[in-house]
Amino acid sequence: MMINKREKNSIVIFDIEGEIRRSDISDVTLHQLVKEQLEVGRKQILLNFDKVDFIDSFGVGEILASYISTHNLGGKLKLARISKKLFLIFQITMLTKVLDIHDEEASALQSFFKD
Amino acid sequence: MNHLSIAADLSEVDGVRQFLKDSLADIDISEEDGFKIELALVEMVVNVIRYAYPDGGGVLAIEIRKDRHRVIIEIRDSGLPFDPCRAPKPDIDEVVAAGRKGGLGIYLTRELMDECLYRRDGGQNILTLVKKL
Repeated sequence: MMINKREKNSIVIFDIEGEIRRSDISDVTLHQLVKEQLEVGRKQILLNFDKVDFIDSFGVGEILASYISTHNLGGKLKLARISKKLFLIFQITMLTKVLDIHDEEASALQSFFKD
Repeated sequence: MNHLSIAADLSEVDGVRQFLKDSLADIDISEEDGFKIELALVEMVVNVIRYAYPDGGGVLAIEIRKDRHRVIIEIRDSGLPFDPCRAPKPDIDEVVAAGRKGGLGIYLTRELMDECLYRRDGGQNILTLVKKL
């Protein structure tokens, strides 16, 4: 997994590439990166899943933990550009009940200012 | 029939995924069903690796059988007895409230596959997962 950070209108965007899974040997996790942003006061975070092609329950847990950490500090964490098969996992695990998921990055960014 | 034996180590998971893809290469299967089977297999293999052998070591064996109508995966290990087919369905609201990261993999597997069968025999956990095509 690779994660690149960029910003638009004070919103932190993480472009995630690859697979979010237990057996990945990355040094840093998605949740750790989100917490680093929260610690410096960046509480509007968008996760771009355009280039993510596999997640397992560990990945689901990372996303959920990122949402919880952000929500508990009064911030907003949203997701965009999730493939049909990954959305299926979110539906089964009922993450769609708690996460704000957008088809496109533009609509996700706009939604930060509408809530 | 295809068979693979591995050490109970997370570094083996990529090999398991490739073994599955090779095993299913000669049957007509949708991308969605292939994904569901792959994820279910990964979840159960990782579960054995993480919990079956608390003292480390250990091995597990995977057998894949298939025909035009279904794919059957059997996972055997000699670790602690555990029946994933009877684990309770998690409550997402409770998971969020408790701030828990885990606990969704077994439920996910059961939802992705059509059948989940467990038996303990000869000191082995024998888990059979069935996907109808």
